[in-house]
Amino acid sequence: MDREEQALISLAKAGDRRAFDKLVARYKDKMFALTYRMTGDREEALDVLQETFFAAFRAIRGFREEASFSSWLYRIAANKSLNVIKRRKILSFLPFGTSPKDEPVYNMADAVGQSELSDKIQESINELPPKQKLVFNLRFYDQLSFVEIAEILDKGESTVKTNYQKAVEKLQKKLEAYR
Amino acid sequence: MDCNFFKESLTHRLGALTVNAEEQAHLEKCAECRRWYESLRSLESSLNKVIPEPLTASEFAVVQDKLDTKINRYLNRATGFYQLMVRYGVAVSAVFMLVFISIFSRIPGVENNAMTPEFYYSSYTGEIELFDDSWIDDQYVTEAVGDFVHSNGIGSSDLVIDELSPEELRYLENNIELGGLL
Repeated sequence: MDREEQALISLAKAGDRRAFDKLVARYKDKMFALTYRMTGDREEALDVLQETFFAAFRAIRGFREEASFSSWLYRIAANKSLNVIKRRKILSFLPFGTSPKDEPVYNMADAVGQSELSDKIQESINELPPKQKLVFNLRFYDQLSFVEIAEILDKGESTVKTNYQKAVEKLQKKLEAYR
Repeated sequence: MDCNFFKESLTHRLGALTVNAEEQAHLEKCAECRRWYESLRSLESSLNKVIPEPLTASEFAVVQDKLDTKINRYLNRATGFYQLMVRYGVAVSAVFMLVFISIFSRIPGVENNAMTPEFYYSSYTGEIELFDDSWIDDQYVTEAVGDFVHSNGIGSSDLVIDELSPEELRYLENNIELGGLL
């Protein structure tokens, strides 16, 4: 955490809205990338992003600077994203067709075009159990260390590593034919 | 080098898959580990091809707008409640106190002995018992003590006093008009 960020956090804790807005601007892209990968839906990801920052605003006074601010934000975003997945799963069981999005629709910028492989990769990641998916995204795409992920999820480092390994093995198996 | 341990370690490195010289030497010798490594490299390369479209400025503007509205509503509600409490807090507290006192006949937080059950040592049963005066018939006790004094002469109330526990004595002194009997 750099000095400027520390100053912004102190000001935001004291109720300074501008400082909070600057923190939002700093982290919007990282948080959006995570919420988008987790929900697989752009609209939903934007909602989760907004909810994440609102929750952060409400709780920032209680933020103890033991953990880094980014880990703290990641934790909020991760929990919100998991809630969306859980809600979606519950709604999919309801009989009256109120399920908002049964299958997430991805809209990824794909370096090789909207190929079959790209779709298959997204589908495979999406089929991972939510917690493995979260660990995989945080590690592979957000490039966080296992220690940071363990801190975010409040789990042991070995648990996180096991989750990552399982996720990788599942992806390997699913994508074998496409590589 | 333990192949299982090495393969596990490689899996954990997916995303930043590199090997040192010692590991490279092992890969050259071990076909199984080499296959695993190649498979991970291929997976890494495939996964890196899928990059989500970044948040656009217009999308962020919408998010920020909604966030501002939410925060303002939250702050107004919080301030409104605070102002309301400052303005009407004293009156609300006074009404609450009056209601409480009228219902429970005591001041909240202040112990009222007359209302609180107490325990005492009963010389009759030899046990600790709950002192409950609700069953005492004032008229009957007055008459009984009066009769006792009448039969045993002036000063015999001391005998009554000896038989009473401190709580019972206090009850008699506080609650029953005994005149000069005790």
